[in-house]
Amino acid sequence: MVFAGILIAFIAGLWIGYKRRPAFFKKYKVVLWITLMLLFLMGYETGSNAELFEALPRIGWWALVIAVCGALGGFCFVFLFERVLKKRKSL
Amino acid sequence: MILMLSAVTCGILLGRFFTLPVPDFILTVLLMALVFFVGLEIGSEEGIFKKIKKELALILIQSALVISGTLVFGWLACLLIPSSLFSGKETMGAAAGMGWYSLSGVMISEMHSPLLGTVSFTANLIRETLAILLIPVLSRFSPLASVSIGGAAAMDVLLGLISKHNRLSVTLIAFGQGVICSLMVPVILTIIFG
Repeated sequence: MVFAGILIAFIAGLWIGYKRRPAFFKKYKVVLWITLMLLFLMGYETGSNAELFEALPRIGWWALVIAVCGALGGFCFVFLFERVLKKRKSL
Repeated sequence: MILMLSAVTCGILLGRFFTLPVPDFILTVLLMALVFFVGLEIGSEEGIFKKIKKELALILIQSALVISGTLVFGWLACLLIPSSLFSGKETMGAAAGMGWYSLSGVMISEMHSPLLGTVSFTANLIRETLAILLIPVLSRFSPLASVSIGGAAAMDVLLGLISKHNRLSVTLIAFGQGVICSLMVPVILTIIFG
């Protein structure tokens, strides 16, 4: 239910933005403020969970492995595609 | 970025030492509001659909490769982490934020677990930092591949950096990649954890 709501909210925002082009949210940096509140609450949930908090020092290493793998995956796939594209252009 | 890290740090410290009356629904409401306003921002971008149309084929291929590469290698990351901690599905989900750390962290916290949400937030923050460090160097050898590291952040935070080191056509493709990846992050996370 929550996830359907998220997708509906996104499509609704996209549609209203395209049709009306409102500018107020940029002026007041609405996205930034909501993001800050969400991040604060995410941090609060982590901090108030003692078990999770103790696991935090290990999280950095796992996150680094996931970040490098994710970035490397996209890089390798596009790199190979770019090589093929260059070869075709040079023919 | 510093502001966002400060918000997380303040939250962690406050949660560690104090107890605040935070209603359960507030996170869901804020998440929906964030997604709505990001949609509004993308939709209201001047001539966004015209810009994308011009390089559409390349943008679509680039985005598909970035997404599939991230998911495949994200899944492989479970082989490098002790197997009892995270499954392949979980590491793939954490990587699927593609640099959009605020959304992926919060969505995964809500949909799966706060631990994986925090890992995803940190992983995507590291990915954005990697992009800032590597794009200027790698764009000389492989412009499109260098842009791929930015993932979803290629349309906002990284766009200035990308345009500084690349041709206009690459910048447009990067922008399109960012838009499509941003559109796909909530969808992919919903499919993985929903």
